[in-house]
Amino acid sequence: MTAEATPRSGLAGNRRRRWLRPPVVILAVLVLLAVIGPAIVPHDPVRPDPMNALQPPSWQHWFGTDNLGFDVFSRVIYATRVDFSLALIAVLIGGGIGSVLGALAAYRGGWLDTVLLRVVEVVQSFPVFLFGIALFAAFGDGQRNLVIVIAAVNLPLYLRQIRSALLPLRTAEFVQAARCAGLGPTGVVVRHLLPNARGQILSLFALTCAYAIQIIAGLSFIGLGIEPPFPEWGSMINAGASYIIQGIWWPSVFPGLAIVLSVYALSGLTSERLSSGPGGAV
Amino acid sequence: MSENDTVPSVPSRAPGRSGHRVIAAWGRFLIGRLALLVLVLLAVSLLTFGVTRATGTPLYVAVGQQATQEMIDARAEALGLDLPLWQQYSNYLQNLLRGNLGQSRRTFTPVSQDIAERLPATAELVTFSILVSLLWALPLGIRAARKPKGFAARIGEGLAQFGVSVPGFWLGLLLIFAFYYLLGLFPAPLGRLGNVPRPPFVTGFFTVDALLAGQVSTFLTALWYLALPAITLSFTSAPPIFRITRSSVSGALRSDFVAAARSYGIAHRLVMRRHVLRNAAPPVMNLVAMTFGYLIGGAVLVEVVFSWPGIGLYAVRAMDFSDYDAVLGVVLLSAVIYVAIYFVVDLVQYLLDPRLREG
Repeated sequence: MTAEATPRSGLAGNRRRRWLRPPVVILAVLVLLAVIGPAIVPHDPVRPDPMNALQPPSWQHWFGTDNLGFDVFSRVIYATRVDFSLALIAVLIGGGIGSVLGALAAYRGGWLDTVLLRVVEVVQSFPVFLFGIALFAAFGDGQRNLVIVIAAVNLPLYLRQIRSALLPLRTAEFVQAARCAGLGPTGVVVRHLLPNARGQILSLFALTCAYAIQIIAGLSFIGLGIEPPFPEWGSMINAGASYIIQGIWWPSVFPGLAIVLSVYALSGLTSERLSSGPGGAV
Repeated sequence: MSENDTVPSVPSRAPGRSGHRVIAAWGRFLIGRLALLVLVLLAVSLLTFGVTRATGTPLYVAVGQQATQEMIDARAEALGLDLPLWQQYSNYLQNLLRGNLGQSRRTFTPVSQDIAERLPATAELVTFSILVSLLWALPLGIRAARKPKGFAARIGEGLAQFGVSVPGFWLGLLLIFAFYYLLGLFPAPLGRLGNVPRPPFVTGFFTVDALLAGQVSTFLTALWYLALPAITLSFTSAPPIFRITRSSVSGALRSDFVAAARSYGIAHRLVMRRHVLRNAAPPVMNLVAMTFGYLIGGAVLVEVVFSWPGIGLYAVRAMDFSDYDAVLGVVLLSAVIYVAIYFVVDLVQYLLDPRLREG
């Protein structure tokens, strides 16, 4: 789905080379793993095997086993689905609401615009992880709230970007024509304004999915969002973190590599960058 | 760099514009920004207040196991929880203004005191991480602007891409594995000084305090413990600094005044120093200031990985204990620091750049 973002996001190069670029290929593999991964993993990702805890990588356990004897390879593969689907849902919610609000702010202007921008400014003045922690404090732990947190973090990015992209079109003739034809604000925004930001939305979509994966992993790393035995890259890194000073690297390194690959593939789809504020924050 | 943050060369002020009116414009700007600052801070406090309400107050914990409804009610009344919401909010605000952030359920000390003890650790880590990023982001950014296809440009972009794609907490673990476990070059990730006695408190920065007390070995130990977490965090802060340096310098290089300076035959080094870097500096300095403000609350995960006793680690530990006053204290403080730095950056920019005043 995200692979379709490439043609529209202003990339040079001919058609064939564009589709064979490394990010596209990696993303295709990852998406495939997210879909069929749980069916092909060699071991049950949530069946502990304490007799074989902390085994280094071998033929039997390609990525070794962690402190509870879980097979790291199976868990890394299984978690692809978990991380990708959570990121996708959260970004769709946050991005959808953010885009519509951004377009509305650009179209209506006035107090609505001012209020929305101020609210977004306030939300963005909280560092991402502390904002997430505060929301977890308010609404409690769990996957549903993880989605809410990620959506809330992404909403301002879309609102700002779409607003500034559409602001020049506010007085365009086709907008006035649509209005003269009797279309209400929602109709103008959804049918005439938003399609003009399609390229930006798709670019932003790829970037925010990458960003979302990093935040999900980061929050799970400090034990928020996903209950530990459930395979997720961040919580897997956390499970292995205390063993790294004994030289047991595999329980943490492999899930981290999966994050890096996903982020690289997603953000490599477009030539644009996320301007979420200093640091990008992870 | 300090000589560069003077006013960039711009045409002199329009004739007929008296100093009096300039001051009036300056006053209007200041008042407008102050009003905005207060508004944003109120909204921030409203948000944390909302979270405080939403977390609920487990009064039975405070009252004890034998709680009767009357005891709970009495407790609620004592805490002002029976008041209407707006009154609770005004009490909350009054407490905030007095610096009262509540009491920690975990350490049994006032949250403000806990935070004051831990803030220097975070500030020191963030400062050093920004120093590390400046060390490579500035020179590479400047080189990359001059030779966009050159070696420096590629290295810089590669490092920036790396920093953006790799999660900081994971990178920290990799560095621990390589430099502590394999090579033994750096200490175990266990805080700021190991078991070396702390230097006498002056600034709270162990490096600075040790130097002030003349304890060179303590200074070196503090640096030694700082190195890995600061390097890890610098991968988060450096990419935007590299990129803005590159674009800002290349913008200045393409400008007419640089072409003019060149055509006068001014030596290349002098053109760079006087015209290019001086004009390219403000956006970079703004970003560095903002990065500092952001990282104060954004270093959470790196602090966790290195057991760095800063406010981020404090917030995460507090979360494990459902110690929400402590969590929200940290959240509020880091947002306030960020907003305050944003405000100062805005003011400085207005002072430095006459174009903003004229517009």
